[in-house]
Amino acid sequence: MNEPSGSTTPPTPGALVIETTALRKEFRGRRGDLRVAVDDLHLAVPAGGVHGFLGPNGSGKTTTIRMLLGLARASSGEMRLFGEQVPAHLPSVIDRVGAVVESPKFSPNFSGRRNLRLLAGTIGVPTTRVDEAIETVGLTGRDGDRFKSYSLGMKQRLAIAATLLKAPQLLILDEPTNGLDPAGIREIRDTIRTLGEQGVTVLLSSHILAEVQAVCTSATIIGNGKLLASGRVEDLLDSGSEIHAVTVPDADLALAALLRADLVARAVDTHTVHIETVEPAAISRALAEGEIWMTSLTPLRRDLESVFLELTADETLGHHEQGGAA
Amino acid sequence: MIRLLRVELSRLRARRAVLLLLAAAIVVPTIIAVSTVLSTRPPSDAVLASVQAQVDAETARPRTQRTLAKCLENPERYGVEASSSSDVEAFCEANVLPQPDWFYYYEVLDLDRERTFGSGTVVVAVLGVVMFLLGATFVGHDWSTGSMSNQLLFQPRRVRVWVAKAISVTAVSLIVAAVVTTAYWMSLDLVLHLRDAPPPEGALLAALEQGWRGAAFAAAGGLGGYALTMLSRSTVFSLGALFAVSVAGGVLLGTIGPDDRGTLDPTINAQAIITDGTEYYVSVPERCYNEDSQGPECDDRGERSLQQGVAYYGVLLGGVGLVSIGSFRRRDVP
Repeated sequence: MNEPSGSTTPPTPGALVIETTALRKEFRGRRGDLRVAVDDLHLAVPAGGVHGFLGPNGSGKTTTIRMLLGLARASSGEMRLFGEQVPAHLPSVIDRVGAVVESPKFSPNFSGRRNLRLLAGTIGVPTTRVDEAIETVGLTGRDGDRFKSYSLGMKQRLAIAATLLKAPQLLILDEPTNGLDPAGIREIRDTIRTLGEQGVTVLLSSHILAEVQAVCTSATIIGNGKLLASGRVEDLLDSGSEIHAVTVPDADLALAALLRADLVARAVDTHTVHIETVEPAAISRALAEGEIWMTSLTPLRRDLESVFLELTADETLGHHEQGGAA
Repeated sequence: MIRLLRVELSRLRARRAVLLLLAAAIVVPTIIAVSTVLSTRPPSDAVLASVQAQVDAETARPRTQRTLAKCLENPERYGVEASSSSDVEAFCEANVLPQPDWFYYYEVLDLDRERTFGSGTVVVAVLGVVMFLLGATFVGHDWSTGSMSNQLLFQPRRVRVWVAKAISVTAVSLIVAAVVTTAYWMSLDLVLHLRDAPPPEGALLAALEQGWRGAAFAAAGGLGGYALTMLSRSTVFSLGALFAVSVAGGVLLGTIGPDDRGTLDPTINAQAIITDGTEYYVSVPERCYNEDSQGPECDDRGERSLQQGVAYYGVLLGGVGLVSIGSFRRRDVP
């Protein structure tokens, strides 16, 4: 087997390690109907850090990842990993990419160690790397047991160990905490964070918003296979309107005054009103005109969940196009 | 490629179902060999003495002697046209007097007979089926567990993966089948020598050649099972296809196929490869049984050569192999 021809030097910070242009994937159903899983997706993941890949179930995250890794063929569009066009030049960059796609898939009757050894043999890495990977994910002592006897958390850890065999510069993890208990989730998140800090670029696909917000430095949100938003997590949280909470003696009176001033507001309880505006002075002016004196004005920090729900509010899961025309 | 081959051989060796099938490839022919040896075992001295006693007793019976006398008096009534009295006596004694094989019959071990009509063909048929199953189950496991996608994450050159797995299956099938068939014929030859009845010159070599042809056929079976399962991604589908072709296909051809089904029948073509050519029955028109005149269309024996059998399976295997590679290259992997 030839050694990979691609460069193995780490990508320069800021360079794109993943790039898709007008990526599209269509599936044809049994009755000839066309389902578009990914539609005109432009994805850009810069080198370094942990990048979240967010979307509801069925939004096309896994399909996109599978196309990037050569497991599925794109209907149209272009993809690049480390600047190399894939799948044409995938063999030259695959040794720099570790990936766990959906659930961990290994031979159930082989031990964890044997599974890793077979994969290590494929890329010609020494067995000492297998030992290191097993130790890194904390499977020492259970590595001789059959894969089918592993708990879901151990299976996930073995899958991550498999990705570490390559000493990857890009790690693609598709829903890595699915089915894990809280301790397992924490372990995986810590591992991801550590890898990100070590300079590995991690693409973390997830529909768990808190996970992405807790771990990721940047994120891409897709819905219906389309790009909805992308950028640094901080920027995504700061985008759009801001919400402020005011505490008043009577929320109903305050709400009436705010609505008269054309502000978007809603009463949360008898003393609290939430107002969407980028201009806090408009709130105090409207309340003063109604002779209502607030006792506090607090800007509320948006979380990724609210951003996500706003962006995907109009999206339905998957969409179909009849006939052959895309 | 060597690295990939080594990995696939390790994977093959580590799979339990494969090991069980390889064990079956050794155990079943061993049972057939033992059964053949036992069924051709010469009688012991005690049995021979007992048989001789029965022969003597029957010979001494008055009715037997009367029959012998009648035969000597009127040999033509017993179907003899003797030219001398000694011929008549010999004929009557051979056909009227009791013979040992009337009381104890056993088949003599004969390599030529075992090779052409006997257990040799059965051994090759068993090996062919076992190796087909080996090829199918080896890669069927990769598809059913989803580990194929994991393998492709480490080696995305799909044609290389296909070829490495194919070489592993074919090589293991060929080596095991060749060793088993060689051991089979060598053990029968050894038994003949131990019985002080060595086979005629050239019989062992002819048997070994048949065994090696059979091993190649079994290896092709392994490759076929592998290629079909890489195409269908299901061991069950491949088993169904094996059944359909080998059993249902033969029945269908016999029912609605052409009169001369030798060009299509998988069993006849397999027999042609294993036995270096074969003859088979051809359906002839009804009138061939009623009229005296016999034309070429009334010849009820067809012939299929080794080359024709190889061409038949070569085209079949090549076709499935090409479609299988093409499918594996292009289709999405779950």
